[in-house]
Amino acid sequence: MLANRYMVAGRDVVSETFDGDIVVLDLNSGKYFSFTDAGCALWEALAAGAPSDMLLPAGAGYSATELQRFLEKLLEHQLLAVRNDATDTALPEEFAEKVRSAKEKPDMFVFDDLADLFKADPIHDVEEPAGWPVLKEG
Amino acid sequence: MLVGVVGDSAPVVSTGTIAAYARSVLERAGSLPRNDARRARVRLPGLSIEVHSFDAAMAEAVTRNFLPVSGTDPLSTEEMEIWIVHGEVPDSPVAARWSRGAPYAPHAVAQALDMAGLRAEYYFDLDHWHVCDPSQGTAVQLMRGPEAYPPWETGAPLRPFLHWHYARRGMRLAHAGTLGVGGKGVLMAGAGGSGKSGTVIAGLLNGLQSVGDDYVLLNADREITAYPLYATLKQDPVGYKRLGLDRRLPAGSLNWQGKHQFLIGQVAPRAVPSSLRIGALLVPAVGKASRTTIAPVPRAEAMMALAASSIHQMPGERESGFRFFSMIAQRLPCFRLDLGREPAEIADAIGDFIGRLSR
Repeated sequence: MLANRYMVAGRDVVSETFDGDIVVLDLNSGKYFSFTDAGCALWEALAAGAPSDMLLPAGAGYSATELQRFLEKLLEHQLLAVRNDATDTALPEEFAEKVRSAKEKPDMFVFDDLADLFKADPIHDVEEPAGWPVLKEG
Repeated sequence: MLVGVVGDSAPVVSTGTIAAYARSVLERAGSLPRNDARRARVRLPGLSIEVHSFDAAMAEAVTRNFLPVSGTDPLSTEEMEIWIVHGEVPDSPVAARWSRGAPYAPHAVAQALDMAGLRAEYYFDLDHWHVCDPSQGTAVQLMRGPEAYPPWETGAPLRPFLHWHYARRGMRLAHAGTLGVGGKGVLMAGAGGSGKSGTVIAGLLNGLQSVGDDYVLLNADREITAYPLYATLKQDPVGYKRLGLDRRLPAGSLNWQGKHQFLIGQVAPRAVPSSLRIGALLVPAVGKASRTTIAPVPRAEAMMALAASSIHQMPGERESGFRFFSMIAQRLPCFRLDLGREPAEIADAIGDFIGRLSR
């Protein structure tokens, strides 16, 4: 997995940065995502096209296993996709410093309260008093 | 054949045919006779709407539930013509059904419509449609029959049309409340149950200004400005009693959410201002302390509070909404508002906070 190269999964995965915190929205699923401090640094590097085998610099506060688990989560939620071209982009200049000073392991948080509503099957699952796309309970 | 027809003559549409159907609805409604008895004019910031309603209840809601511009329009005015029609109106378009074999993926549907320059929203249970051509300024609310609209429709009438119109112009309908002092104010964003609506009403009852709760228009030019659109306020029975509204307002039935619904003019001692210059974004939370506190909150958290429900409640325009609300959270200072117990104390705390913003 660390030998692969990655890219943001598509135009429907959009992100914004707020004082170093990153929020990602998958326009299709309606899910929002945020990251720990190490996760933010890694997302920035991955989104910029950095080679994944350079994402574990000396002094990083996470192991190869923890990095791999983080990549697996990004792939599982379809925020990243494997790319086949061999072109590499240099790591963002401040990447190594960010991961060395990070206080948290790489991880992500999923806010999907609304995602189920976006994806509801409105013909069968609508809650009549509230209306589509509010799902029926149970 | 682009649009299928089922046995009862209702067209059947899917993602592949929705644009053709939407275009046919607009053309057919636009050819209906214009009659002064059904015509109403609503003047909102930057938008003058001529409404032709064939539904009495919707016509009443349009007349009652807006806060129209009085005097000079604060924005450059554009025109829109809206038809509110149903299946019993002769020569009306027919409300289509969504194909039961086809998925309804809102983002994909919005993209298919966008390629044709159109917008539409569909409510399954009633085959209820909002269809709009933003570039032409024409729109249709289409129902199976009279009063066959979702129960929330009258509280904020024409909402999808306003959303699409203002989004095209780089502005945005926001699911947020507002409070202000002397024309300067704050935006409050949070999920249901956060205390947002009760805070707006507490402020109004204690001398603060507001340009609305639930849905306001945001413009983000040199300054971030909120404009009033809807006069409707809502409050659950517990909050209604806590705020003393049961003694102030006439008794009425509860709305579809089990909430009291009333108009801002019934609780605001002064006229609603034409706008508020927004100086901060607050994320309210029902607190456990007796006194209200206001402390900085991460911008990402404030953005999520503002964007999640605003984007979710409005059809289409998801990416532009995400960018717009992100920009609001990046430009404004963001705070958490932990609400005290007493409405007057809450209003005083927010009034003092706004006063400090102005200095």
